[in-house]
Amino acid sequence: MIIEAFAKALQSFADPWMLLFMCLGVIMGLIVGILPGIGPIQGLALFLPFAFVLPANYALPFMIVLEAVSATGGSVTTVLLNVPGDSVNAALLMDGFPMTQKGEAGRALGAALTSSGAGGIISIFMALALVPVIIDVVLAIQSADLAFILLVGIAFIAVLSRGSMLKGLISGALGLLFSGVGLQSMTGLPRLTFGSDYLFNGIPLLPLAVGLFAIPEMISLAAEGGTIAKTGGVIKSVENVAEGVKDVFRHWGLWLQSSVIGFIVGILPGIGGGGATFTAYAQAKATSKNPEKFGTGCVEGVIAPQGACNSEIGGALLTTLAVGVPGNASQAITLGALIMLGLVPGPAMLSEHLDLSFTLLLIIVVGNLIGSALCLFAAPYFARVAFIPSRILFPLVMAVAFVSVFAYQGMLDDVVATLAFGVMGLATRNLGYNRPALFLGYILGGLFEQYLLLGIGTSGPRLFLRPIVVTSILIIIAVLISGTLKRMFQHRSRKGSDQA
Amino acid sequence: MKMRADTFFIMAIMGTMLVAIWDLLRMEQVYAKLVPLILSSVVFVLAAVALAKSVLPKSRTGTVVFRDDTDEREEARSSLRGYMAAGLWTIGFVLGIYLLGLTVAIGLFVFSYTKSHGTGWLMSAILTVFTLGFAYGIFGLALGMGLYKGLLFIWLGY
Repeated sequence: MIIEAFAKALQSFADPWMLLFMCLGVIMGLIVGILPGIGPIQGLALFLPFAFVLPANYALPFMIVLEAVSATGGSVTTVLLNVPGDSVNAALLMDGFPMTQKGEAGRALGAALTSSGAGGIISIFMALALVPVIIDVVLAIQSADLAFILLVGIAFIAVLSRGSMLKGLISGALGLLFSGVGLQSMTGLPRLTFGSDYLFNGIPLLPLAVGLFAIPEMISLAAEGGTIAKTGGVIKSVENVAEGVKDVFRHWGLWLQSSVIGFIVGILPGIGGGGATFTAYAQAKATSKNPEKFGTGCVEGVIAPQGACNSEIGGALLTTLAVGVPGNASQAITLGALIMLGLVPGPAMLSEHLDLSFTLLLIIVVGNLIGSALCLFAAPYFARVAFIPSRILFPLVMAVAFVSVFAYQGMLDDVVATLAFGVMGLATRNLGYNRPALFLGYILGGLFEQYLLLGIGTSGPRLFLRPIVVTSILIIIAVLISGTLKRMFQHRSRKGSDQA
Repeated sequence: MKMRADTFFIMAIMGTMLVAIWDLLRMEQVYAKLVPLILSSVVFVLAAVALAKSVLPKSRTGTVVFRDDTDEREEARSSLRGYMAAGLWTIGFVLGIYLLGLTVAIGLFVFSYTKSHGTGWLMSAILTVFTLGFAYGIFGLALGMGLYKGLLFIWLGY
């Protein structure tokens, strides 16, 4: 039955008009992904009137592809300018931008785009394998389990990243606390707003992302002069892109591991792409033979988060279809579009409309392939950005960053907040705090609190007896101990070599 | 210098956490304050440990090496000047947005920055037009967003 449905889904791609609208969706998705401030939600909202006048069998692929490909577009600005298009691109900051600084922008883009494109493809096979058991799996996981799974991801990044473990933990906890600012969804009470109306809806994502990552890099670039790439040359860009593509095949085990992680995290309702990419990165570092290279601009640190970023979308869509619970706002729009078609996502979707479910998953795969191919062809030209002198790049990026931040909610307060977060970003950057851990804590903090309180409400203290919770706590303790021991050994070996 | 900045930053974190804890303790609903209260306490304790590590004297072993660090200090001063200049440009740009609006501020900022950093008149003008066109084209025309006009122009009735 599964094979039959899969074959039927493949047949739907024979319609050239559907492919044309998919291509349009890919182009729009790449554009909204590249522009900071305009994410897939804004893109979908922008084209929703257009999608409504189209027949549903063209509108749905257009919308799904637009959402799926925007992360690919965001990876371009993340690698080149340290500006994450969305939270899903944040993990790429850790090694993508350092590679650009080393003059390997083309290689980083090649690896990032190939890894994410291939991650999208593998997700379809994982979906095929999981269709018979997906509903049981999703329903077996409870809120408390999800809360502690999220905590494991944050602990991994805080402890295993470069620099001081203490500063990593402070950063992760600060990020979690940042997500608690504003109205709490469960009680409707404002917290830590200090009377400010602006903070009622919480700390907004884009001003924080731009302030933490883009502003400090641009100010440093302007202060130090030169170009983003400190070595290398434009001529090497084309060969570098091909080298990046080959890197994914060289590290195919790492790519596969990251894609599987991305898919599994995608299945868990609500965690989203940010959690998937950071978990894949942390796992890649923990299992690497050379973990010290991570964060300095190593290609493995690019392959891992990108492998997870698109496979997560496949997993999330499978859960949306199987249980009818959208993982994020973009999936909610997809859910709305399905309902518009007269289909009600839920267990029946995987039994009565399995072919359509596969069609939707295949649309993601094909869209990712087209998007990655387009970006790969354009990557050598994109990579030239790394060689633009700071006297030109600084004002251009600052102008686009601030206008994007304003466009995000149409509020001047966001511009001022970006400046404030920029100061904080500059301080944390130069004093060795872990900005990705802070950002990850912020992204996942809201969900962590919600799941934890739900878990306490339903299970009480017994939640600590759940196998997934116990395992998660043991993993966190092990990560903390291993991080401390590793640093002790490093300190001793350094001391020994100094004495020698 | 770096150690002193780090110490000040940790103290700022601790101060902020104390204010957060004080604010949260005043709330009545346990469900609303539980997680942020735990987190701000954790951050406070971790920052206190970091502060202790930062200010307590480290045990010194080995030989003391005397070296001339004049060049290093000069480099640090020059780097600080660069950061101050870039920071002031950024603050000026945000102030410009606030007073003159996005369109005028972007034009002024891009042109004056590129021109004052050695780019020719023509190139500066082209870059300014390009940036303005990009910002206005995408956000103003395509997305139909009203770009902020600026306090001055709003006050003048435009």
